[in-house]
Amino acid sequence: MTELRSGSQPAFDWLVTHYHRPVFGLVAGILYDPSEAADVTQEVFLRAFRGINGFREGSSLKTWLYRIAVRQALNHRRWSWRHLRQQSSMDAEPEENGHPIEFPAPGLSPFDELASREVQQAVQGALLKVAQNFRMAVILRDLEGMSYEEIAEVLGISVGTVKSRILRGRRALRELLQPVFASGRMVP
Amino acid sequence: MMMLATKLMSFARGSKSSGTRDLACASVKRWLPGYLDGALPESVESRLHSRIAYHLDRCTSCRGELERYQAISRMMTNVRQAEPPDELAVSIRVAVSREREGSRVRATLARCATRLQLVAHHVVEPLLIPVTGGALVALIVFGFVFPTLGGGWQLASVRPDLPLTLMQPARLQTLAGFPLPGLDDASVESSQGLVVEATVNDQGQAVEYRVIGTPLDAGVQRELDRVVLFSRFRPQMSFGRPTSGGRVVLGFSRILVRG
Repeated sequence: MTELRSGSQPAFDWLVTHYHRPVFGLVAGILYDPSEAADVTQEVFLRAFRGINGFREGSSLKTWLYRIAVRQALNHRRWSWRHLRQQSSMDAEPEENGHPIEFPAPGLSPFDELASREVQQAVQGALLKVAQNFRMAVILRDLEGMSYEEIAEVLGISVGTVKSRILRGRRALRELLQPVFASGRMVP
Repeated sequence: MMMLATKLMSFARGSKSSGTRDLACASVKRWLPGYLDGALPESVESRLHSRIAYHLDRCTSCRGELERYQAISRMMTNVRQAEPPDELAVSIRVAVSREREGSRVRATLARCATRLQLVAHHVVEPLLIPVTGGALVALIVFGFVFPTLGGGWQLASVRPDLPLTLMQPARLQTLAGFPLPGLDDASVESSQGLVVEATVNDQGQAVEYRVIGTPLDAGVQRELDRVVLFSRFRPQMSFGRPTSGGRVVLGFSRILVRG
């Protein structure tokens, strides 16, 4: 941390090497556009570099970085909504080539792989339809595997609110996936 | 054993028919997303958890619902994060490197600004009041007191000053050096002089003249023409600008020096 604060290049290289993947994944999960996610991730690290002196001793570096990433991604999303008027394209079903999230499907037959891809698209589509606040909490919990306390710190809300948002987010996700369960494509 | 199974089935049927199961199931299903990993509200968690677990042991419908939530959670957990572009890490490092260079320049400027502020604080500020006071005192002394006491000096203008708001009459600058018969002739002692009034244009040239007094003979008149027309005058000035119509009176007389 001391080296990071002093602006040491090797220390920051380590930070980039260590965290650029998870930060990119998180940003992509919020934005659902890999090309924009790359730009936003770069901006996240620039802001981290500029604000490294504001990092509190004893806090988690990951949480701090994720907090910047979430804020930056949401800002970018808001900016896109206002200036580019691409709400429909951002909230619509992502294109197949642009999918940031993929299920591993080792050893699956082409048929199984196709089915898996369909389920994957259904889950992603459902996740996109979940309200932003709830989705953020669900992503941080279920995709990033963060604790409630960490999520609370990243989102700047209380643990109780985090739990409530996760609860409601999962409930919304379950309701949205009901047709998939009913069709038998996704088996519990 | 058979009796026990029959009893359990009748209990299940009974609870279903009485409607309590539907209510309990609705309540359980409401909290199931949080039951998965302890996301139940803290105020009710300890109480709810055991009751939900108890209910799940008995209710296949809610168990199925729990399994659906578990399936969603499993899928979410197994989701592979998006892979960043290969050049992302490099581009971040380049951007940070540029930022570092920029921040160095900014830091240098900030250091200079800090030093300047220090200098201003320690040098300029203490002198500010004495210098201002001294300047004011000097202004008062040299601007009001000293001239009042008769000190100072007067600035001489390069050329004689001309008033710009008055009419200045025309006047002779150079008299043409032609001889005038009768005046320059030493043998003529009875000459009484000659008075001429010339009219001068804005170029300083005499445009006409008249002789005041006795008329002249033709010879003298011709010579006088030459003298007047070739003489140079300063034109009449009106508010600093030359104007035509100025009049100059020229007096010619003979001065005899004896001895």
